[in-house]
Amino acid sequence: MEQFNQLLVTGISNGCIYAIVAIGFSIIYAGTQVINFAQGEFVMIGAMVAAALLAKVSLLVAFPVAILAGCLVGAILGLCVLVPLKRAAVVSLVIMTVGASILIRGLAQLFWGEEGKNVPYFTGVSVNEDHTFHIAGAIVGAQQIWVVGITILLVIATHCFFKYTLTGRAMRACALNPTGARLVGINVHKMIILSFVMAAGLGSIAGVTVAAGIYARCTMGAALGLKGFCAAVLGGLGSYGGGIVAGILLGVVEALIVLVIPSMSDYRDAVAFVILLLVLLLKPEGILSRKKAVA
Amino acid sequence: MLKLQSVMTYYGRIMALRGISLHVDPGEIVAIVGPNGAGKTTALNTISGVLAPKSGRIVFDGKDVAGKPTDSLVDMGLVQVPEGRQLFAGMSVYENLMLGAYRRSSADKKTRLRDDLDRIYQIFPILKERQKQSAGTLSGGEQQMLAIGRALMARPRMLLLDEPSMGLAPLVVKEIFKVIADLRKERKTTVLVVEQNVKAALTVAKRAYVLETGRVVMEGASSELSKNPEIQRAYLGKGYKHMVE
Ligand SMILES: Nc1ncnc2c1ncn2[C@@H]1O[C@H](COP(=O)(O)OP(=O)(O)OP(=O)(O)O)[C@@H](O)[C@H]1O
Ligand SMILES: [Mg+2]
Repeated sequence: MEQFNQLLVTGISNGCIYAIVAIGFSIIYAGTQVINFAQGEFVMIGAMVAAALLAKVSLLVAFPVAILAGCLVGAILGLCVLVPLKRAAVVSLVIMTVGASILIRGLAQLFWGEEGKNVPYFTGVSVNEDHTFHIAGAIVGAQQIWVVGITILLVIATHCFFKYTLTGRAMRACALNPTGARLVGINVHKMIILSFVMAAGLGSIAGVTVAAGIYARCTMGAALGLKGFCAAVLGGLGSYGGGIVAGILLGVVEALIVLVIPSMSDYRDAVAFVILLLVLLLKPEGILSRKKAVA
Repeated sequence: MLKLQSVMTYYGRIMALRGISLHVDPGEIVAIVGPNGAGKTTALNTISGVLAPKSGRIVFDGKDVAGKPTDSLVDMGLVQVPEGRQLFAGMSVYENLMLGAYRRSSADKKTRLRDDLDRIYQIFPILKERQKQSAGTLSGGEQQMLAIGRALMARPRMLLLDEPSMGLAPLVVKEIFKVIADLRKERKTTVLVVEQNVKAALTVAKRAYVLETGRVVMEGASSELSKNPEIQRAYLGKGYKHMVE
């Protein structure tokens, strides 16, 4: 039971990160029908920029600057996708994002090198030791509480943004009916850029949060991006709620699988892809969505 | 208020408008009628900036607006109610209406948005009843009302209506056209309406243009046009005399 609880804690905190990345996929997909395979690189940019800055400044400065850097990369990618958006097939744009992710990673490696950079725990005892709490027999790190707390905040903030603000409504309107959006005077292109900026901002927040206590590396984006992608597809692309639930479920299943098949511990990362393949074969619209939904 | 001079619009290499000229005076209701594929929607989309004309002039309020983006035309008070309504189907009636006011400045909104919403609910009480319902679940008539209501939230001085009667029962058509006539009377809203329902269009409009294959082939006062034998044969059908009360 204690082992179960311990694994559950790990699973939930990992799953939260997947959930945030999944929201990013959905935001861009809803606005453009493009699956942005550079989503994982936003996570990496956030983590790397924070790690680089933390050598000189405190987290309170490094965190927001890392988010801004992520947003900037998002805006640039958004502009790059926007230029050919009308003429090119969606598939070409998706391939473009794959190219962009390789480019971003390559540039990061040129700039920062291959070495991992240490990012301290947000509220740890020291760089390498976190505060811990005992909850229901499981040891919970303060960083894991940060992860869950930040995820909850982001989910609420995203929800309120899309539901109650004019800009959020306008973004949903563009996704639902671009012609109608244009006729009420919404600048659809601006909204598309904004969706990239938001996805990148969310990704870089996830990046800083997940890197704390472990290393930030230029190559960390690929795996996290793919897990987030799995979550987004499982939840039904374009459905935020679905992606969040699927992300957390994915983290939990990944962690608990060793209870069922102990030999899986080395292949944990494969779990997501096996599930994804099964779902794509059996229920391609996602397990959690009845139809293609937005918000 | 609005003046088009030899406007040509293309889809790629296909010429859809072969140089049309028309004008609408302030406070006037003018209709464009014509068969399917005549270029009526193309004309409205060219005026509202969805399409850019290849040549010709479009003057709105004394300014050349040809090729201007839709959002700046909305700011100038020119708003289109599109063919097929183009509502935000997954969003509530209330949210659709609020998005109609998207371009209005925030200062203006704070003071008058609530009043405007109430007025639209007065014009279309059914929208108030349905305000929390998703726009996609409305009936055809209610959707048309919502499309008009959404456009009105922008406080337009001129409305472009593309086939508002499409797919609606005669009673609902009558109601919608009454609203259009009232808007002109009460708010001096200028209206350019495209219609396949020529009888309804000629009843509400003072003047009309007949568009065929991208050209204006006839124009004049509605009363004259509805007496024209060619129009009667082509658009009003045999039973026309019979249907006029
Ligand atoms: N997106 C498009 N691409 C290419 N050709 C188009 C496009 N839209 C319309 N056309 C063509 O332009 C011409 C005018 O079309 P338009 O939609 O303006 O006609 P309409 O008068 O509004 O017809 P309807 O009464 O059926 O709505 C038609 O021949 C049509 O085939
Ligand atoms: Mg048409």
